[in-house]
Amino acid sequence: MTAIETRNLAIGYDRPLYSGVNLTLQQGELVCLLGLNGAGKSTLLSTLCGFLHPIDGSMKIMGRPTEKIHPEELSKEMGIVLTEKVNAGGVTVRELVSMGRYPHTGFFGRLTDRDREIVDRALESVGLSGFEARHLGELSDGERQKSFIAKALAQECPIIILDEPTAFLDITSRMELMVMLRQLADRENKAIIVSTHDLDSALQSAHTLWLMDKGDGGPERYGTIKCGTPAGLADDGTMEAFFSRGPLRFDPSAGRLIIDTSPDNISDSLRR
Amino acid sequence: MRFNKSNLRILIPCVALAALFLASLIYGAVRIPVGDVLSILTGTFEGKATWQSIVLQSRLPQAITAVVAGAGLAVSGLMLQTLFRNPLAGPSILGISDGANLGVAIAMIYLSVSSYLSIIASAFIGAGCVLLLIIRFSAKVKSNVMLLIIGIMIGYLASSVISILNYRASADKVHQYVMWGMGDFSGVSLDKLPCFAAVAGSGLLMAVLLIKPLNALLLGETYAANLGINIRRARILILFCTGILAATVTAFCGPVSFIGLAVPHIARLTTGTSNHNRLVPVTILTGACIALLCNLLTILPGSNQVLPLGAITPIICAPVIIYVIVNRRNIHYFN
Amino acid sequence: MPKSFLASCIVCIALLYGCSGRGGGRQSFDRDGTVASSQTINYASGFIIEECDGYTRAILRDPWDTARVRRTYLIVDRSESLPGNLPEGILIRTPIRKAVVYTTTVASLIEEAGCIENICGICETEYVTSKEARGRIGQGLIADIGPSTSPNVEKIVEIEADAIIASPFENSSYGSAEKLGIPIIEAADYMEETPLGRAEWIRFYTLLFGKKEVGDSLFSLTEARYKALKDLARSAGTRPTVMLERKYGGQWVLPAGQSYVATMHSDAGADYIFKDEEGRGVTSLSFETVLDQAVDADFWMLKYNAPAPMTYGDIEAENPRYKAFGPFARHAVYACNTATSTYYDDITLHPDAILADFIHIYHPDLLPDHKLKYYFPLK
Repeated sequence: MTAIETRNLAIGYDRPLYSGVNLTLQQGELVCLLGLNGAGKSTLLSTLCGFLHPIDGSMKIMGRPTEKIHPEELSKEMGIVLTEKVNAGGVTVRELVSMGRYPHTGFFGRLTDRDREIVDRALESVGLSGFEARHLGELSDGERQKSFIAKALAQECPIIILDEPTAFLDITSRMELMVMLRQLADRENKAIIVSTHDLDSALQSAHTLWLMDKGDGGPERYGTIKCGTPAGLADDGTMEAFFSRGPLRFDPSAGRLIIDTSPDNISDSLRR
Repeated sequence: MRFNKSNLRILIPCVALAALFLASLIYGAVRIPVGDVLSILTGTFEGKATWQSIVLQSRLPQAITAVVAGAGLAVSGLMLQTLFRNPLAGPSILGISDGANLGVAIAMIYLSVSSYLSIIASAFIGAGCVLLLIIRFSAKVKSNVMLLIIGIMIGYLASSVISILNYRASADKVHQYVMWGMGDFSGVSLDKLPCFAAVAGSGLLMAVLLIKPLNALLLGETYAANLGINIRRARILILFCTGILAATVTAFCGPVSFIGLAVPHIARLTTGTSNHNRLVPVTILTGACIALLCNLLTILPGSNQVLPLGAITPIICAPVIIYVIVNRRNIHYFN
Repeated sequence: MPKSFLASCIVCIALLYGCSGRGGGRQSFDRDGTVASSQTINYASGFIIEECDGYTRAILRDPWDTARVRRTYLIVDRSESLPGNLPEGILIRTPIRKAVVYTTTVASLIEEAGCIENICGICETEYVTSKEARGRIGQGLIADIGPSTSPNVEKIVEIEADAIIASPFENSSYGSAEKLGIPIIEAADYMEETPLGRAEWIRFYTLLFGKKEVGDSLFSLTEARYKALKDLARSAGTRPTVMLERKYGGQWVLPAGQSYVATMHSDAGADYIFKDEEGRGVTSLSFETVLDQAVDADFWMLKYNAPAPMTYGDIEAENPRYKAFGPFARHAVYACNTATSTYYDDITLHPDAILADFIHIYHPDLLPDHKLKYYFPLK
């Protein structure tokens, strides 16, 4: 099923940054959202999560138009993981992941046996099975982010949205995380959107890339979002056009950004 | 019942509460032998009528008042600390106590009424006005920090009006207001006690019903919303519940500071958790214990003199706050 | 509290006090050799008056540290020239013509001595009750100097006062008023322990206005009346027990055993239940202590401040537990409404009037024709 579908979406705060946006996200698909700072990645994610109203256009979540979905029902469709460190150091890992069950539990948040099983499985999926009694305050950044992902998993939502989850992680943790997300998409059929700056792991793990370019305020007032597979976008030159700046160049054959320090290129950039 | 760690953490405050309650009945400014106290409680006492009156009509209501007030203030402090994600929030910080103070100051100093009922009513009205203001602002102001600042400013405004009233008033009235301002658990007589206990009790019940949103709010409003909590409604309910508890206690007992601020920390430190499932009941029990303890300490041993309650609560509670601040790096919930 | 802590507190306080030196503060309270004669001050412990060669010296004792001198005033009449060998002290040229008085009670004392024309300013004039004084206030002859806690110094300058009469507090300074260069006379009468001691201060005040004989005779009159009443009360066969005041906030605030209120009740032939409580001021006890010891008291005397007379219903509404006290059940409660009564005006110079009320209440047969003026039975 199509997890998220937008039609002619215009997003932004006061005036639209992007207009006429048509995106689809399928179940079982891992999308990496790339773009420079200020491109509007968080704005797009906020709109998709329902925290920000679109200026124009419409959206469907799991086939239902968003106007018909109650905000509290959304909690069963979408789980989120944010960048910022949450100041809840006294909560244990198990308690945090159990909170993921809140949309499904009753008034006091009491867990049934089935709920507990789901929590156990979520912890296993992220590799934190032995960490249950540890407090969030004593975990490393990577472990903490994994706990929040486990919480989103425990929510049993078909869609998971992560806003720069690797921002404060070291290189191994970053790769681990992306691998895990890819596995979640493949094995558990989750629809996942990750916004990231980490081009390397994005290229290697994602099914699809969404490239957001705010534009330079020129003749086109709105930015553009280009979608495609990593290989596809590399082959058709989109990646090159998107990323090349000065000595920085996207090399399609190598499949990554390289710094070209030959004198021609430097003088080229000086001329520009 | 298994004697595992978590059950012990509830059991110990219960036992302490029972012990302190009994101590409050046995120990007072007038020395009454323990045996006599017990026989008064069991209805088999045959001695001085005043002693019976002291135990049943003075000490007993005072102890019950302390239990209810301590629990109410502590829970209200806990909810505010969670809602505002600020470990130094307390019932006085939103200006609700200052509103009650202002109501009483206007009644005592400006209107010169000092009957018992009018004091309670004016404290309630004052606190209620501030509470309504805060709730209105909470609909307009999204940020919690801003709401906190608005509450503090309202508190300052109320305090400055009280200062002006005090400045222009006669020494007698100022004295009366100051004495009220010291806080007092003995003011609730046996006939008023059911009303007080009922209102405060409903506040406590409401707090128990808010355990789930409170837990979710630990993670911040974005995550809480994503977990299906209606943030706006939760905020209003929490503020309302806090306001009712703070207003009721202040109306019947005068301003009692520090308990709402310190007891949640004691509860978190002893239970080692931030989970409100465990925290709310422990806070209720601990708040009652601390209030009873402060009440006991108002009596100076060896003399007839009594100290005002407002002098004792900081002595007990401030060290807790200082300890928490000094050790905050090692305390999980601070990070 | 550990003894060492208490001791170090006392040392600190003593040091702090010693460092705030004032003119005349270092003398000890002894007479020196230049005294020609000294007046007999029988009751007041707060001041001594000495007639010296060419001047009169008034030495005020520190009420908080009775071995020390608080102020020394050197009183020289305006018509005489200044003597050459004046010792240390604050010079006052008498009679004082335009005095600013901070408290209304002292103002009413001075008024009784016939010196109202020499008062040009009073603090908190809204509490002045005397007709003549109110008239003079209305005519602008007496200015309102504002609250006694922060008097309007500019006003004092404007009306060209030549002396200030203020009530001292333990560590108070008088703010910018001290810089005016006019003498500040400390009226510490309220700290006296006995009613007659407090009344005797009129002799000091009248000295400053040049009406010494008036003051002396006023006091003699009061002294005679008071002593007569006291002797009368002593002749009574019984000594009823009396309890005082009410619960304020969490505590029952009442006069301590050695306060002058307690002394008055004792002089009126009654036994104050808490006469053994230490202190000269007030003390705060718990409700249960009062209930335990005073439940069978014969009388209950209290003061209140309200627009309407207090009733038994009012007391019960304030706290239903008051019903348990004997005086309540027997309707033996008497109260003074300080809003309408001249109690505070009269207590300083006419404690005998209040004593008469007490004696009439405690021993009706001794003063059968007396009409109550201050304390009335509750309705």
